[in-house]
Amino acid sequence: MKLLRTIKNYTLTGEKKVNVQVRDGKLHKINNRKAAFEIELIDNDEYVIKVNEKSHLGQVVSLKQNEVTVMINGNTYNFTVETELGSKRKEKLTKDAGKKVSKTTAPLPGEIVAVLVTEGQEVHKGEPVMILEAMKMQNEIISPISGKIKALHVKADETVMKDQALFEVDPGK
Amino acid sequence: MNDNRIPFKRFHARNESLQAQYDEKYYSKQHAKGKLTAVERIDFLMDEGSFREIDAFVKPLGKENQKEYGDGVIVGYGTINGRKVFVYAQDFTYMGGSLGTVHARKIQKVQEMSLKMGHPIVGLIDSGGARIQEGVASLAGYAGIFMQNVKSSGVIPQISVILGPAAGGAVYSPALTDFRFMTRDTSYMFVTGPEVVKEVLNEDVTFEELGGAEVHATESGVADMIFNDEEHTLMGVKKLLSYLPSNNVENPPVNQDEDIEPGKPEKLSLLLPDDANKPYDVVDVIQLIVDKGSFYEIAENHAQNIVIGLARLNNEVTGIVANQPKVLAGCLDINASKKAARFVRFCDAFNIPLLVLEDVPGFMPGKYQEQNAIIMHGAKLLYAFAEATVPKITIILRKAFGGAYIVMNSKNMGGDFNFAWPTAQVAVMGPEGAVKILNRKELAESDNPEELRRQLVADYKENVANPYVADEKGYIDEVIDPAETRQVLINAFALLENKFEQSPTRKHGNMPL
Amino acid sequence: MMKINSILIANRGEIAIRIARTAKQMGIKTYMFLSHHEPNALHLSHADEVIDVSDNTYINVYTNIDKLIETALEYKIDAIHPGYGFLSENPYLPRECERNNIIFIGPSSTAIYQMGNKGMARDMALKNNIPVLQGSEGVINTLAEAEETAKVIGYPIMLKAVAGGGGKGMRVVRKKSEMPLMFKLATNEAKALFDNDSMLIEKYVENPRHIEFQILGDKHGNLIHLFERECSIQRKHQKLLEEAPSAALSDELREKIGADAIKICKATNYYSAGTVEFLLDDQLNHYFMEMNTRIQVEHPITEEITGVDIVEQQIKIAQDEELQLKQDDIKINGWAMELRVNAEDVQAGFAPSTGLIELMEIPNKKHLRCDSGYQTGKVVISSFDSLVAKLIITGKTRNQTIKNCRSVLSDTTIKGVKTTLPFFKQVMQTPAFVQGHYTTSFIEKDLAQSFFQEDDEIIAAAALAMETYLKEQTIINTGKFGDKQVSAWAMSKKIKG
Repeated sequence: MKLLRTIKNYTLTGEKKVNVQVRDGKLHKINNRKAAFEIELIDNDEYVIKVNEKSHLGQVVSLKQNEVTVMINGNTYNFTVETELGSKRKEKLTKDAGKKVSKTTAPLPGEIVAVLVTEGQEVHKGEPVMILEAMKMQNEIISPISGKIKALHVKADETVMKDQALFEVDPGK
Repeated sequence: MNDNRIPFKRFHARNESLQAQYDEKYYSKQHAKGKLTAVERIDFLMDEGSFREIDAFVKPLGKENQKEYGDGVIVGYGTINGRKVFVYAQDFTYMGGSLGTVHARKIQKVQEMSLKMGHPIVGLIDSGGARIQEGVASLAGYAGIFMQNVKSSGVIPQISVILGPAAGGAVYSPALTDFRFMTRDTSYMFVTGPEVVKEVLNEDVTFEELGGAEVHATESGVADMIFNDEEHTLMGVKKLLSYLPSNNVENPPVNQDEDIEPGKPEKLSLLLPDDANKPYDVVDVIQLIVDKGSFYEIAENHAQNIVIGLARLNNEVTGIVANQPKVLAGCLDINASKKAARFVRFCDAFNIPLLVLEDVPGFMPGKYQEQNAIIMHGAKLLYAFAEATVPKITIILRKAFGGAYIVMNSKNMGGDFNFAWPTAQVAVMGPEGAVKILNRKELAESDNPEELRRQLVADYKENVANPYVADEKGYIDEVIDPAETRQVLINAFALLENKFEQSPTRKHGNMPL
Repeated sequence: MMKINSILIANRGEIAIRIARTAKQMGIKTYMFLSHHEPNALHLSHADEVIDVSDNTYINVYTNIDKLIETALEYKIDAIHPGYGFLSENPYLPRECERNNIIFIGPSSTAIYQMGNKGMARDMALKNNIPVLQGSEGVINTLAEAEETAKVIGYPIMLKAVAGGGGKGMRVVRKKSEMPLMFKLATNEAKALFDNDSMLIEKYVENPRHIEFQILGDKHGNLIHLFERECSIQRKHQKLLEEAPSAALSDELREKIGADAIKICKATNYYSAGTVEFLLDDQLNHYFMEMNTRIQVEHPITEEITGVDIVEQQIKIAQDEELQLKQDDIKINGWAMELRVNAEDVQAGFAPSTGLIELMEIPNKKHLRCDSGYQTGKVVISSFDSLVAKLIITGKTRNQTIKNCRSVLSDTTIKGVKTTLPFFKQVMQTPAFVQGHYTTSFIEKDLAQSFFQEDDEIIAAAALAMETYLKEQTIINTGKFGDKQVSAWAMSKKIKG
């Protein structure tokens, strides 16, 4: 009954897609190339990753379920690790479900100085929904999709943390 | 090679026909919905080759001649990382996983066994609800399952994994268990579905809005854990089990790892902003105290003003309850109180010591909170902490004001140790508020009220809102350097290993529900 | 003539340290504030006296004129140096100083007022035949006025807060439909920042270069310039990298713009250090933009190429000394660049990245000067700007300077907060910059989208992410736990009832 495989394929999705093949629990190929790399732990939480003779300094920022954030040479990479089954499922679901309610979170900590819409209002993609003031600069928080404002989670003058939920847009049918 | 003697022939034939039931079509039906089959789910969950199915060949009442075995549920036992666990997995491909009499009887059977033998039980739920064809008999089936859930409550860990629909009466079994896991996009839980809502209230709602995983993980708090896909959901269940004892007489499993130091203890004091009104993320504090990477947060998207989860401290499992200053300043509200109270009671039931990290400015004020009985809900947390007999330690990181201070496992509510950081402020209320009330008259009469107020606030901080007043009166056991927090806790919990407390004999307390 | 014996430095961070350094050389005693925001700030160790105002959490001491004056009087401090930002361009501070017989190290109240007001400054430039961009006559207070004026000038236009500066309160409007929102944003921002939401409208030049001239003038009417700085590497009008001299100017053009810079200062009887900003379009026409009546963040590159200590000159001018430097004495010697290492997450649109600096290692090199208000163990907070360090790098030629920049960057490490260091690494590799052909749209136009990534970095990232994930999966799947022995004592008491 056990579906044991010694070779497993994973897809890492993030800003860029990376395919990884794992053989017997070890990294084998990355993007279909036999990977020539070493990962070495040098400090409490710091790694040196050698890829093609070049060294990169890396840190694991967070691991939550199948979402991994690492920092390489000071740059952040967010990945979602999908197993083969997971990738198939995702394809299937996106095809079936169409669009989903989109949630927007605060990109940086600051204060909401203005909320430009009300709940239930129609918004277009790219239309500003709120103004977030951070470091004395006003940033427009725009709607990522066209639809109806389903919920506003913050009010004007409220202080928000990074990643705090701001609003939801429902793309409708 | 199969033994071909007569008694074995039939045995093998039977097994083969059961296997044949799981054909291509069986898999593709579920896969087409983005779901796994019951067989695959059990495979992912259990140690390889450890699962033994029982009652595999039963058939539904009155349909003894039909071909399919099992009546839409696979039940049995096996091991997860070497520890014995009972499992049942509903099979949506057979009559929509609907619960008939035999189906229910099978589930009750493993429930009874798990209780008798003292091992956790995991339910993998994917069912359309009661089997209408069998009428009241199927309802009675639910009742039996619920009864077993309640009997087992607090004796063995019960985990419900919702991997498809769970509608109507079916939702109450998960509700009675200790933890509910859900998978994004494919699992739903609701008492009445969108059609009924439309008919009765004439409201248009989607499955997602009514009982999607996201809604339950954030708004209702029904789902303790939410995952992106089924594989990771099942991994999450395995991970949770690694923190839990098999029953209420055992202690939680102890790790034997050596590389557990979180490192950088000196960073702890720097995590707190200099300004007492500025938020920070208490999860960062937890990570620097507990064993490296061991913190497993529960219900992280619901009532985010309180953080709960399991972690290991020097390899031993500890339940963490922490106010989260970055959300609603860490105020206690209805949802936070309920979330924490339930967790505290779970930990107490299963011998998991409790660590409280306190930074709470008070209870959430407002009409909504009061009208929705924050009094009763806040009392739940109070009751839970007071009733808990496991080792209980509180560290006051920053604010500990008023009623909320009492609730968060204060010394006089039975906290075994109360430590405080030098940044702590223990008082009936915050400096600004206190000055407004205490010095109302002086402020009104002053020529320069702003200046006076500033002076009074500074005085209040100096004389009242610090850890030293409470320390000198014995309400705090010790003020500690944040950098030594981990070591102090390890020592204190070791000291508490043999703690016992008894409450008077009674049928059960009357908790403020 | 009044000799300054003590200075109250009404600022923090690197500029406070910078001012203290020159003051120390001149034998002047320095005072700084210990505020509740940063009780452990590095600059405090550079002050001769620290004034503790941390009890007072209700005011920002750096922006409170009354508090500054009161402090200077209480401690009998001769002078106040405002640094940059905060009150440095507030005309009321020099006025209050004067009333209380305190020396203000900076220009006159009138000069700040005139030049700080963009409309007045512009009129002044027009009057003196200095080219300016076509723009609104007088201030604009309503959307209707803005739309009307924009129609006359023609899009694209720039909305600027009358009281603005440093890129704040500025918005580009490319077409009519954008106007209502942009107007609202610009006025909101201006209202919040400067408490004045009046606007100016100006023709917007696409892809200009930003050239500014450093000016020194004394109270006796002598005025010189210390040549230009090029500050075209900007993001949302915030400068990130500056160099001196500019690769875009010929000697002839340098002289011409320099003369214009002096001209406008003459017109306001300007004294102390100041900066006149110009835009240079692709035809090499220059337009007067505005004047900054303070010491600039990027002043060190001018110091490096001219050998003049600008803070020293400011102090001397403030104590009424006559400028000893003549225009002909000032020569450009070599090249200098300033890299502003900000605590910002470049990938997240330069969002502030606050927190503890876990490690800060700056190499010791003869072509590097580092002005910083931080070191390992200090905390970057959101209450102030995100500047962590200024790396000022010099070389004989521009090419040599770029080489030196690369070597400094590869030896500099900052951990704990994200910084703009990776950004500069990429800038130093970008052809447009290396060849000196860049404009203010460098970041949008010339930097590749993945500008922060080295080759193979994504592979390294994927490898580390996957390894981390697999490790966790292995623990979940194969972890073995020994059951704990419960002591008989505990066991017998475990279950109640």
